[in-house]
Amino acid sequence: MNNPAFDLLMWARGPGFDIALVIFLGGIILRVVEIIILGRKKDMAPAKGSPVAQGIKTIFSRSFPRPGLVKFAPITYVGGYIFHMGFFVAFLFFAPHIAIFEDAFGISWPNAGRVIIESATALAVLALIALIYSRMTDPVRKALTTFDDYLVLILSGLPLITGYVAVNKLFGDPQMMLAVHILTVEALMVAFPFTKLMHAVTFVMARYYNGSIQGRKGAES
Amino acid sequence: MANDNMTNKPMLPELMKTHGVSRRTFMKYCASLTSLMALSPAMVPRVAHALETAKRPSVIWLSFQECTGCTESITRSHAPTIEDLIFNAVSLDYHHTLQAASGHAAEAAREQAMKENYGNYVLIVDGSIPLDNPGYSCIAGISNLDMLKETAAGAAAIVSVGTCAAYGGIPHANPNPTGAVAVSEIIKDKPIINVPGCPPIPVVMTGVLAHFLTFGIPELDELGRPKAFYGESIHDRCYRRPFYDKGMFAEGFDDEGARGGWCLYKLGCKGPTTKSACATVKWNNGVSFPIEAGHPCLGCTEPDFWDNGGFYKPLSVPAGDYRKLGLAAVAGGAAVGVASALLSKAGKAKAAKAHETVDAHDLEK
Repeated sequence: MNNPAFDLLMWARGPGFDIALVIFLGGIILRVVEIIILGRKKDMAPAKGSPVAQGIKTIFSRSFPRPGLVKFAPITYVGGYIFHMGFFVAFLFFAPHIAIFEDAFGISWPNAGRVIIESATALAVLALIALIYSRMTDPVRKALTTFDDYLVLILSGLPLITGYVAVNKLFGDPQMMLAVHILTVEALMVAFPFTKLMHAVTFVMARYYNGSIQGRKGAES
Repeated sequence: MANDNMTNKPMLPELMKTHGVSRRTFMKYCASLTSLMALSPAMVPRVAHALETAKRPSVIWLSFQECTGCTESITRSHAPTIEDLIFNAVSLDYHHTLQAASGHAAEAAREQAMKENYGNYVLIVDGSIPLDNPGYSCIAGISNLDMLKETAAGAAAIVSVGTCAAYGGIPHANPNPTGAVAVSEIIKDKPIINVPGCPPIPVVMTGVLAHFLTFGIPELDELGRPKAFYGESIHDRCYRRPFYDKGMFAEGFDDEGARGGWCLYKLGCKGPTTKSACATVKWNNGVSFPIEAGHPCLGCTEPDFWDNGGFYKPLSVPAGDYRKLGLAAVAGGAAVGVASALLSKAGKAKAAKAHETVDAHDLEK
């Protein structure tokens, strides 16, 4: 006798993860290598400022909003911050997740307790709902939003929701919910290199590039 | 354990008397059994009455591809426990390990019990059945498959004791060299109660038998297990659960966490996905259970527990050999990225070369 929930869980932990990992890593490397090799035309003009220093500075400085922008688009900024921080707290400080890094690389770090993890998860999901709501109601954002944006928002939210359900056994068979949680993460991994999720990697290159252009011109970024 | 036992065997009250078990102890047992079976406390007197007056059905116990651990478990409950007495109170007409008879005499006892109680006996099976080659496991020259089919035909119900009989168990584990299957894969027309575990807890086995004697077939889950004993996960009832919630985990078998009795999730505990009464009923008369002894749960009451990605691998960790694949993906991705970029550059250069030169005259056209 087989247990379909167990079989699905083992598929998600076995071949499912392998497939997702290959697409995830292969896709990211492919795109990054392509971007670097294609490069830009060399700027022959002598630099007026320090492109490298400005580039590196911009990688970090763009993590903070410009004055006045939080007031201008509060949901985008506050919601964006809460979502990103909540997502990464839940992802990086939940012990079962750390166990994956420990298995893969032999490194581990202290984990957080259930109250912190679940609060972070709940806040991230609420922020995500607010972000989707603002995209659907604000006419300008609505016009700018593509299918890709909604797909990415949903794919980022599903692991949070299914993880919360699996840990708290809110409904469904616990094996099945764990399997569904892992599968939603694998869907996120598969979509990652081919959607705007790639920003999690390319933001460094894009910010450095923007900063260095300004730096070359002798401007602050 | 010949047929004459069936008629001469004393009923439960007499057995209790001879073993020095008081009525108070018996009632306490009935109360705990009632709560264990998730019945209302008002049912205690009914359970007691039913156990005292229950007809002793003929029981045939078939052992196939197994290790005798299930029999060890049910007989090693601390004597004289009432579970033991209930087990004795049934008319066990055939059991390789426990019966004195052997060879043809033993088979004759089985055939006689089947003939006399056709349609009414209870068939208990431990061990899986090999389908690849009947010769892999035979008893008195009869293949396990033939013996199961023949004996099941006249059974009122079948109890698959242990994970091997219930789900194929260890013989069924990858690569399953004997083609081992569970009883339910072969017998489709009889009620089957699965009592998985490697081995199952003695009181769960006798509890299921007691339920069958008193109220018939218990309510089963989708894997054929009595909900009363397999309704909740070990993780939900584990006394170490507060450590999981606080995020306190043992990282090794001899670290501070292990000594402090912290959660064993990171050492591979399968408690979150395993349904069993281990954490509440415990073993050896309620002394302890594997997690209390400091070892992660192996998940032995679940199908295919032997192939769950490694006993010491946390549930969240990928089960396959993903590292090589990951490195291959990085190398492959880099190669394709270089190729694609060079192709783009070549295309760009080619396009630049193919540009037609346009002068002022052309523009005037």
